[in-house]
Amino acid sequence: MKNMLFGFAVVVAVFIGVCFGIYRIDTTTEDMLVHIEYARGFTQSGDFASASQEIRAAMNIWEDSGFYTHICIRNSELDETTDTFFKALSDISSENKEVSLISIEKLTLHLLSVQEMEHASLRTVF
Amino acid sequence: MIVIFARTIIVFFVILILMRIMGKRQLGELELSELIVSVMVANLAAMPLQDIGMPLFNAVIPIVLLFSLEIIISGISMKSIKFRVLIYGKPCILIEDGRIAQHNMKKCRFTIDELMASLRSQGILDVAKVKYSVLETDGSLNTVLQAGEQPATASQLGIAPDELSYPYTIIDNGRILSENLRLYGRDMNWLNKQLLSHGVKSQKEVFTMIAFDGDRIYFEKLEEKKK
Repeated sequence: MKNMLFGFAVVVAVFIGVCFGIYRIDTTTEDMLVHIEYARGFTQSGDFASASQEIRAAMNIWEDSGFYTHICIRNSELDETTDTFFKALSDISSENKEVSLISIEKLTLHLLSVQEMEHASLRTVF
Repeated sequence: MIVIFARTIIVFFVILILMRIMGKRQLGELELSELIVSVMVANLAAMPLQDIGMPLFNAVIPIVLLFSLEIIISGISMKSIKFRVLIYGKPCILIEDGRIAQHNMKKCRFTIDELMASLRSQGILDVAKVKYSVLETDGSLNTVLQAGEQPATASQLGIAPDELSYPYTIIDNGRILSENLRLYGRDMNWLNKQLLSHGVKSQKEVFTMIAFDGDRIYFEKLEEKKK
């Protein structure tokens, strides 16, 4: 009986941990996406300096959550996300509106995919 | 490389602790759910050791979860017979009164070759000598011989052999096992006398000393090291 209760406790603890993981990745990506949306607006209006600042702010959030993301997300996925941030920064600094918007869109989709990976859905489970 | 080193140690101890919690039964015989856990854990444990890009938690969480589910399933199956039958199935009688139960053989998908091989491994060559042969839920085949084919017991022969007593290991490789000495109901004075009577001065000269009821002692001196 003790062992069974221990088993239940572990399953519940893991479930709570997983729920916390989803919450954490959700809030982190949503915070980043807010900055990225601002960056998209600034890029569309031709304010590349502000767009760059917003991308950097999003990147800081990403780097600050490094401890948690390294525990939960594959290293290759983390590296790819960081690369996508740098690509967006580099494209914005080139002040090419079209290319910058494509990079920002790519970054948005990438972060949404990181967020979706943690969620249980038919797509992610199967 | 140090990552693999650390991960191997962590994974080893995680599995060791979980196996310890699951209990000794898992070591000898595997029921269906236990087999699933063993196969999956072996695979999961190897993954983060081969791929350092994969977070260790991606393997540790499923391993912990699998062991927990197994503990829960074992616990529920101890309480509910219906659940036990649902998860582990029922034992299947393959031989009854010296006759092979063909219907059960088909149901359990057990071939005559497998049955004969299992009987031979138990030293039985003739099916007619078997009273019951049962395929247990863990896959082992247990066989009971017909009454006339079973070896005669001491009580059937009317003899009274000495009762077997529990052996207490008192000295193991030069070390005194105080708890066993206490359980045997003796003290250090008795032990020192035993050592002297066997011609040794210290327990360090003894490889093993096992005590049985009635002061019967098995004594083995430590072999001298080769120079």
